[in-house]
Amino acid sequence: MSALENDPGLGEEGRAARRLTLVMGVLGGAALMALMLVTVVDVVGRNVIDVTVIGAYELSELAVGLIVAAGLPLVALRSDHVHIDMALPLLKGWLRSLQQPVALFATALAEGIVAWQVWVQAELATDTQRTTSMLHLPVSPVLYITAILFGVSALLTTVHALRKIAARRETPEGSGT
Amino acid sequence: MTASLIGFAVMVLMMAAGIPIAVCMGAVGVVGFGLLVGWAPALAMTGQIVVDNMLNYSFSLLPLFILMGNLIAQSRLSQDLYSAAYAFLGHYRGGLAHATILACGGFSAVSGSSMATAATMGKVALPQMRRYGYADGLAVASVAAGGTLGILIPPSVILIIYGFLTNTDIAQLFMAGVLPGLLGILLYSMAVTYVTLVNPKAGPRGERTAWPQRLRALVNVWAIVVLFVLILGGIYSGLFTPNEAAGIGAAGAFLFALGRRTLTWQRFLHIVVDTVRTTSMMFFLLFGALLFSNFLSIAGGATALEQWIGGLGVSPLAVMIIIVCIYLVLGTMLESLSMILLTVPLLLPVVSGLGIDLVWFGIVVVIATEVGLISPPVGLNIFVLKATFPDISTGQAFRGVLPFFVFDLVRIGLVLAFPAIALFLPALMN
Repeated sequence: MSALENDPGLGEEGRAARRLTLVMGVLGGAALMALMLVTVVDVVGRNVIDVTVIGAYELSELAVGLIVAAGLPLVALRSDHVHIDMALPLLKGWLRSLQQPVALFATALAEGIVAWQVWVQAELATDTQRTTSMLHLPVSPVLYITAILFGVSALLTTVHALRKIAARRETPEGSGT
Repeated sequence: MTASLIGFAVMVLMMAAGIPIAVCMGAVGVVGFGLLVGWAPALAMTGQIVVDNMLNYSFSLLPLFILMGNLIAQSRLSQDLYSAAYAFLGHYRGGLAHATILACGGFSAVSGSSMATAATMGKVALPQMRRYGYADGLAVASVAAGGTLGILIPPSVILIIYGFLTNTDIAQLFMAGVLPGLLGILLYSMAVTYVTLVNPKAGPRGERTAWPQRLRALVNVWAIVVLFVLILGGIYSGLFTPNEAAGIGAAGAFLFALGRRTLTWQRFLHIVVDTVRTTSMMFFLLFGALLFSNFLSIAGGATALEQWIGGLGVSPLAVMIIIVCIYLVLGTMLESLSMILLTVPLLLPVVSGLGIDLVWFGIVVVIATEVGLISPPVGLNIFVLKATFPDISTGQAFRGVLPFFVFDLVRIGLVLAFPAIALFLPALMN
C-alpha cells in the first residue's frame, strides 16, 4: 500500500508545481487557520465571557469545504490517492505497462465527474440563492471554487497519465513501475 | 444481493489493478446505482454527497486533529517523550523498547495517526536502540507496534470516521479508546518482556537515571500532558464538544510549537500543505465509501447479509469473533482507513440488528485494524520505518513483530470477553 508514484516528468515543471502548492497551501492554510481561530474564540468566548461567535458553525462548514477543495490538487499533483499495489507484481507484459496510465485515467475521470457534479450543485445553489442560515453568506462561491479545483485535479491527473504513456514510448522495454 | 456481490467483485478487481480505493468504491457505487435506479439520480447523488459532506460541521475536527498531530510531530517533542520514558524504564532489560512503547502511547495522545506515530517515534527510538545493541527485530517491532496505538488512543482519525459512518457519538468513542489503549501499552510491554526473557541479548539494559534527572525529563513533556488532559478532560466534562476540542488542541499545539521555536515559515507552510492534502485525501475516500454505501442500500446487500447471519442463529459474540477474523485477514491486504470505509457500511446493519453496542464494536474493529498495520505482507508501519531506515530487513521485522501480534490477539480477546474495558469510561460520562 502506498501512494501512486510521483511522476518523474513533473520535475521539469517543478516551479509550476511549487507555485500551485504555494497557492493551494495559502488557500487551504487560511481556511484551516480560520477554522481553528473561529473554534477557539467561540469556545473561550462562550466559557469565559458568555459570548459566542455568531455563525461560527457555518463559518466552520465553509472553511472545511475550502480545505477539501484546496487539498485535492495537492493530492493530484503527487498522485497521492491511497491504492493497493500488492497484486501489481503479478501483472506482466502489456498489462503491466498499461496499469499506471489506466489507474490514472480512471482517477482523472472520477475527479472530472465529481468536478462536473459539484459545478451542477453550485449552479443550483446560485439559482436557489442558497445562503448560510445565520450570516446569510452565499454558498455557491465555495462550490464554484471547489468545482474548479476538482477540475484542475482532473487535469493534473490526466497530465500524469499522458506522461506515463510518453515515458513508455521512450522506453518500450520499461520495467513497468 | 446478486448486484451487491457483482459490485463487490468488480471493486476488488479494480483495487487489485492498482486503481485508487476511493475511485473503486465511488465508481462501483455510481455505476451500480445508475444501473439499478437511473443515471440522472446516480450523478445527482454524487454531487449531493460531495457537497453535503464537505460543507459539514461534523467534519471540522478532522483537519484540526490532523493539524495538531503535524504540529506536534515537527516540534521535536518525540525526543523529549522518549527521554522521559527512558529515564524511568531504560535500566530494565529491554528498557529502551519499553520506553519506545510508552513514548508511542504518549505521542498517540496528541496524534490521531498510526503512521505518523511510527514515523516520528521511529526516527528517535530506532537509532538509540541500535546504539545500545538491540536486536533489529525487537527494535523495529516495538516502534511499529507502539505506533499502532495512534489510531486507538484519542484523538483518533479512524474513530472520527467510524463515528460519522455509524452515527456514533465521537466523544463516547474517544473515551472508549482510552482503556484499551492503555491495555495495549501494557501488553506490548509484556511482549518486550517475553522477547528479552527468551533472548536477553535482544534488549540489553541501559543506564539507570537518577531521580532529579527523571523529574527534569518529566518537566520537558508537561505540554503533552496538559494538551491531552485539556482535550479529553474538556470532552469528558462536557465543557466542549470533540469538534471544539480539536480547535483547542490545534491552537495549543500551535502555541506549543511556537514556544519551542521550532516553527519557521517554511515548516509551517509544509505542515499546512500536508494537513490540507491529507484531509482532502481522506474526504475523497469518504465520498467513495458513501457512494458505495448508497449502492449497497439500494442493492440490498447489507440487509441480505443481516438476514443471512440472523438466520444462522449464532450468538452476537460468535458474529463478533467472525468479524474480527475477517478484519485480521483484510488487514493483510488493506490500509486501515480504507478497511473501515469499505466494511463498516456493510456490517453496520448486521451488528445493529444483533443489538451489539456500536461503541464497543468500533473499538474492537479499530484494534483489529491496528493488527493489520503490523501484519505481513502489507504491515504499513513496518514499511513506514523502512522508508526512513532502508537497511531494515523486512523478514526480520515481521518475525520481530510476531510476539506483539500475539499480544494484540490477547487484547482483542480481552475486549471481546470484557466489553467494560471499552465501555466503562463512556458509561461514566453518561
